Amino acid sequence: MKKLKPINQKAIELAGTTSQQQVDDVVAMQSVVGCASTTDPGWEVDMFGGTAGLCQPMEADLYGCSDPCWWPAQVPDMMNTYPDWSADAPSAAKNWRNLDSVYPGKE
Amino acid sequence: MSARKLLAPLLLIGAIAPTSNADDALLNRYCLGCHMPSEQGLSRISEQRKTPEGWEMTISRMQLMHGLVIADEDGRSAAEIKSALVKHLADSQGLAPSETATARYLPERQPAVQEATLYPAHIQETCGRCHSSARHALQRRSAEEWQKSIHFHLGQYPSIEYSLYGRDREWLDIAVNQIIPEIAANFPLQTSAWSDWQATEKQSLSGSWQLAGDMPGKGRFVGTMAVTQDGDDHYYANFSGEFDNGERFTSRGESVVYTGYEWRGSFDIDGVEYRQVLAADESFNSMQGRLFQADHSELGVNLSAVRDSGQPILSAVWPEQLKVGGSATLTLHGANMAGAVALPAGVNVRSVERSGPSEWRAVVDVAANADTGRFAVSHGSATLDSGVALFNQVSAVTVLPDYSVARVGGNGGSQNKMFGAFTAYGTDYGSDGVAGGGDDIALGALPASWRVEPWDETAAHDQDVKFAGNMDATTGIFTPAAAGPNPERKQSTNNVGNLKVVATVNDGDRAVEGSAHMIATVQRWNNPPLR
Repeated sequence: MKKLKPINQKAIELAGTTSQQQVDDVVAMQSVVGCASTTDPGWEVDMFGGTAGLCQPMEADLYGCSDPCWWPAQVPDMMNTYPDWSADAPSAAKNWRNLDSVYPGKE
Repeated sequence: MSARKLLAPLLLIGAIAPTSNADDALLNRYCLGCHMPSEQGLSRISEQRKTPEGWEMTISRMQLMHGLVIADEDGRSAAEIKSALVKHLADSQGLAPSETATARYLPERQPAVQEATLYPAHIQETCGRCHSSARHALQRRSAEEWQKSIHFHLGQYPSIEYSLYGRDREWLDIAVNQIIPEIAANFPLQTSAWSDWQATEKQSLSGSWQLAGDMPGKGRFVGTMAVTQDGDDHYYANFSGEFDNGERFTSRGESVVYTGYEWRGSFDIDGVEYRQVLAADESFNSMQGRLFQADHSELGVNLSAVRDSGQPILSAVWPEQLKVGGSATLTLHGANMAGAVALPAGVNVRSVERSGPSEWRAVVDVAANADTGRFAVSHGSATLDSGVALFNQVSAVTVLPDYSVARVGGNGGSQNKMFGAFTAYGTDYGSDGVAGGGDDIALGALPASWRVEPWDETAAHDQDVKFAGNMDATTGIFTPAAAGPNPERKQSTNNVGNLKVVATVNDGDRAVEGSAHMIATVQRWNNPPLR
C-alpha cells in the first residue's frame, strides 16, 4: 500500500521531485481548495499572497462583505440567502461571537 | 433510541446516516409540490446526477431557499427522512466510480489541494474563484441544467459580475456561451460510465479489511476493520488501529454505502467523532479514502483498505527507511503472514522479537556496504514493493503540504480553529549527490522538529509569529490563535499570519531543513460538506 497518495497534478509533480529547489519550481498558487481566489481583497489571502493586506480586523467591515454577497462561499450572503444572519449581532466588532454557521458545523 | 436514530442528525453536518432505500413515493412526497413529473422523472431533479454529499446540499438548499419542509412523520425523524431522500437520489442518480476518481479530494475533505493545475484557467476564473471547481466536476447535468446553474448563481449572488474575474469583461456572455458549453460537454448527464455502473452487480463490503495509511502529527497507521452487513447498504464495523507514535484505538461504528461503492462511516474514537469517506474499487476488494475528525476535517488519516480474504497481506513496513551501517527495530504489519521474511540484501536480522500472522518484529543491522535504494520486502508470499528504503544520508527535506491555510477560531465564537498539519519527507540524492540525478531515493516521512518563522518582512514587522498561533515542535501541528479582533495588534487586527513552516530532520550530526508556506487566516461561516 502506498503511504502517500498524489491526488492532483501538482502532487504528482511533487512526488517526482526530491529537493526543495525542485519543489519551489512547481507553480506556486495562492488558493487552496475551498478558499476564495478573489483577492481584491481576498477573504483568506490578500493580492500579495499574504495576510497584511486583508481588511483587518475582519469584523470591522464584515457586513460590508455579507450585505453585497462578497465571498458567498465563505461568508453568508445577506442579500438573498441569509438576510437574518446578523440579527443577533448588530455590531460585528462587538457581537461577532453571536454569528453562527449557516450550514451546520463549526469548522 | 436506536443507533440509526442517533446517527441520523449527523447528516446535517456532513455525516451520512443509514437509512433503508427510499422509493420514488418518498421523492414525490417531498418534491412533487414544485417539480413537475415527466417521462424522465421529476423536472430538474431527473436532469442531474450527484454524490451523496451533493444531493444532501441540494436538499438543504431547497430547505433554506425554497421553503421545503421536512418534519418528523410516520415514526421517522426529519433527519431520517432527509437521509432516505439522499440515499435514494445518490443510488438512482449518482456518479460512477470513474466519474468521481479525479475529484475525490473534495468529499474526502483533503485540506490543502490546489486546483490551479487540475482545471484550465478560464474554468478556475469562472468557478474556482469562489469555491472548488470539483463542485461542478462532481456533478453531471443536461446542457439545459448547466445553463440554469449559471443563471442561479447570477440571480442568487449578483456580485459575481463585479468581483475579480467578473468585472471588466462580458462575464455573463463568457459564462453562458463559452464556459457552460464546455462544462456540459465534459460533464454530461448521460454517460456510458454511469450506465455501465448501473448494470454492474454490486457486492457486499462485509468481511475483514486491512488498512494502512498516514496522518500528520501521528505518523503511519495500520488497522483492521471487521464489517458486518445489517440490511441494504447498512453496515456495522469494529475498527481498530495503531499509529507509529504508539497510539492505539478500538471503535465500533456504522456505515452506509451509497451508489454501490461510496462508503460513509461514523466512528467515536476516544471521545472524538470521526467520519470515514472511502470508495470501493470496481472489484469490491479494496477501498481508498480518508478518516477525519468531524469537527476538524483537516486532521485525518489517508487510508487504503484491502479485503482480507485469508490470503497473506503485507500492508506496511515500519520504519520505511533504514540507514546503512545502522540498526533498527523493523516491524512488518499485515494479515495471515507466514513463511520466510525476505529483506533487502545487507539487512541482517539480529533477533526476532515477535513473529505472528499480523506482526513480525525484529532488530536488524544494515551492513555499511549495503546497496542503497528502495527495495521490496516479503513475508512468505506477501510482498510490499518498494517497502523499505536503504540510504546513506538525508540530503533534503520536503514539507507537505507546501502551501496551506489554517484559521483562527474559538474564543467564544461559533467556529472551531482550523489547525495546520504537516509532515516532513526525506530524500537521499544518491551517489551523485545531485537532486534529480537519477539515483535519488525517496525516504518517506521522517521525524522532525518544527517551528514557524515570518514568511516575509511584512510578517516579521507585524509579529505574525507572536500572534498567529503555536507550532507543536514535536508533532508539526499548528494551533491557530483566538478569533476576534486583537487589541494588542495594530488596528486591533485579527490573529492572522503569513508564516514559514520549518522542519528540521536530524541525520546523525547533520541537521537538514525543509519548509512550507502557511497562511493563518480568518474563520468562515459557510461550511457545507463540499466546498
